[in-house]
Amino acid sequence: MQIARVCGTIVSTQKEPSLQGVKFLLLQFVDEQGNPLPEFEVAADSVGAGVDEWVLVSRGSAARQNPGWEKRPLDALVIGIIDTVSFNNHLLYSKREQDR
Amino acid sequence: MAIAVGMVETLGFPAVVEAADAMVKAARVTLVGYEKIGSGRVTVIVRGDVSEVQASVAAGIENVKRVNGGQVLSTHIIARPHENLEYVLPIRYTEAVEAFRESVSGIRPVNRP
Repeated sequence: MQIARVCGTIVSTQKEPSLQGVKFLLLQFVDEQGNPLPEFEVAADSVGAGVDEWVLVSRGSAARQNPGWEKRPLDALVIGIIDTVSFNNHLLYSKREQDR
Repeated sequence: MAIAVGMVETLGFPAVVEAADAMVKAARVTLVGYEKIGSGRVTVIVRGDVSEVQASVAAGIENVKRVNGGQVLSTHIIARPHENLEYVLPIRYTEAVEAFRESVSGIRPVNRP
């Protein structure tokens, strides 16, 4: 699992029929200091994350463990919306602070 | 105005809220309104580019399945509604959603030199 920030959405019309209705998000990975990394990933979303939120993303076969998603050609899936991240007893990210 | 309109009708309020949330999060569309039909039927209406509206409606339908007891009753997309519809039916952009319309319209260059 990795921490990433949702920075956009992806829309594709002509795609595999099994991906019909799947929401795609553009993610930018974040390092342990909270800095954005120059690494991006397109991930499917099963939890309803929105732009600017920090999320947990699973990659590889772990992205297909979700019931009903086994047969979809996915290799990255947003599996959680992050509430808080703390590093060395220091609050790195809080969803509540972002809302203020 | 060549702006597509997408509609999703569900049974019950939680389902329509979930659908609306998924729709605006999945693509660059603006939620312009909702309609209460009666007997628990509620419809949400989004506007945007046709491909964005298609992705948005598909995501809305898929996400209603997550709602306990949620049910999609009908959906439709009109790629280019006639201008006459805007004056009669509640599908037009209102001032209340103007901020959200600006945030999804136009392609902004991101971090490009």
